[in-house]
Amino acid sequence: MKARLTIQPLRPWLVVLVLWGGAFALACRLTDQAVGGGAGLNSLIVSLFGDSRLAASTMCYEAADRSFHKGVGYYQPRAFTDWFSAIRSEIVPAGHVHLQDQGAAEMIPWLYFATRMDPQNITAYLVTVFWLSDGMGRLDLAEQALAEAQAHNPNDYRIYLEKGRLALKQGRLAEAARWLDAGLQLWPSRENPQGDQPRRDRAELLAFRGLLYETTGNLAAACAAYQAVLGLFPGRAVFKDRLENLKTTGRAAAAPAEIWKALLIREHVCDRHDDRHDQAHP
Amino acid sequence: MMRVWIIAGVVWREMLRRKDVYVLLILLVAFLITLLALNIFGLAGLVTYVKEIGLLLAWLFSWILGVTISARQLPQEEQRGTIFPLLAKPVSRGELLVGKWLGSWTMAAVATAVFYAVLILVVRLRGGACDPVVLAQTLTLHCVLLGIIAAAGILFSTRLNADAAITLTFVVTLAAYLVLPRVPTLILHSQGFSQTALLILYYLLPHMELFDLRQRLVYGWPPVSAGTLLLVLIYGALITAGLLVLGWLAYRRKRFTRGAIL
Repeated sequence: MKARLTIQPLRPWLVVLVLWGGAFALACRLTDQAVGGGAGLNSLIVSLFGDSRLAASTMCYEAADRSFHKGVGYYQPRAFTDWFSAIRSEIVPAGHVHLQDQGAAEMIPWLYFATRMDPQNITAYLVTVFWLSDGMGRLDLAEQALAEAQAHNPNDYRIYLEKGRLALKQGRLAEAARWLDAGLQLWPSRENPQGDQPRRDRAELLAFRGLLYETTGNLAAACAAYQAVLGLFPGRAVFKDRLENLKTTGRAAAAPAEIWKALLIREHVCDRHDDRHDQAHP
Repeated sequence: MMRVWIIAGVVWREMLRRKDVYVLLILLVAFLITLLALNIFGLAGLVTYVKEIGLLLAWLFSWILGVTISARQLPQEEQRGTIFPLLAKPVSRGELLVGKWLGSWTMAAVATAVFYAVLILVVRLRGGACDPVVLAQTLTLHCVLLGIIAAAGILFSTRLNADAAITLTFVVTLAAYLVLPRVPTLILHSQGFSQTALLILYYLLPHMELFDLRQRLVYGWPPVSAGTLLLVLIYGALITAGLLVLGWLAYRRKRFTRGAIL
């Protein structure tokens, strides 16, 4: 009874305190969402799945690969074949086939799920961008996907390399130079600088940047960029010759745009190597 | 046979009263609407992922229905004490078992057909299509699989209570579906006892994966040959019959004590 008497005058203050706390929490949440862009969904996914979302992201990425191969899974060696195996081989789709042209878009949802489960899954973003831009020619959508990837991974050089590529494709040279410079500054991010792919990426960043320097007449910077490319890969004849020409005559045989247009053409190379690989691609 | 159908009818009426099917159907529709509402990097008209995830959900929900309906039929009768008036009627234990299985199986199969119908409707609305022959094959084999699952549920429920029977049926059927297709590969990396154990499981448990034609349906592969389909149907029928016979052997001499049950 005594306790009730002492709490009663505090009730309005308690109500105000609770409301203030609620408003503060809501404000924090609203701020978080406005800055992060989809941070609400990400935090929900983190709360729901915890670290298992990373495994889920990998699974979704693998599902994208399976989808690209029209439902055919990876080939697994077998210790024996029996009646069940024989029937199963009749039931399960087999062969080395790919979704073609615009049909390749059908695997994008799986890449989308992979990035939702793990926004740090850069590979999933990059594959998405490749298929949107090089596969389907939808540069606008590729840029949107890259903007999203950048929001989640602002310090990864690979995003800036892709952004530079897309800007080059669309002839926005000054913008491309900015993205490539950012990429060079951030390289190698969290990757191993001695790894094959990071070194290739750096060489690509330097090559594009060198070509852009040439277009602005900054030959010294272009030469330095090509020198750096040759430092990474001494056998690259295109840049060896170009460097020689620039040093001796002050101009190269092919215009920079011709070289970067050739460098921008990318084709999908299937990494599946199994005993059915020699079957015809439809 | 009439008595079997009457028992199956009772299972149907009970399931319709319990509304499990409606709940799962609403869940499926909600999931499909969510999938359709997603903005996937601004791309429109994508349909394959709707088919694939929709079919996965249809499989999941039908599996849940098949197990939960079948595995609780007999324990429920025993728990309520209605098994005594039921067995006092001119109904053999074999007929009771088959009736319960038939009711569970047909209920799960019809619910599955409805799930497929909803999914196909959504896919059509999205502008996609499915080969009708492959669709019919997929649904047929899926229904046969549900017959095996229902038979397994009935078998385990003859000697276990409902919760244990449901759990065991889920574990055995899911393990069979997920592990058995990988055994020929796993054998390569195992030796001695584990190799023998894997082989025993491989030949002992039903091969659920043979009834899964989803990838063919989703990615537009041609239908399975009639001969293969017939072989799988016969295999499914044999496995179902075998499980029901085992169930009957376990149930035919089971003694019920009113006090022990209540």
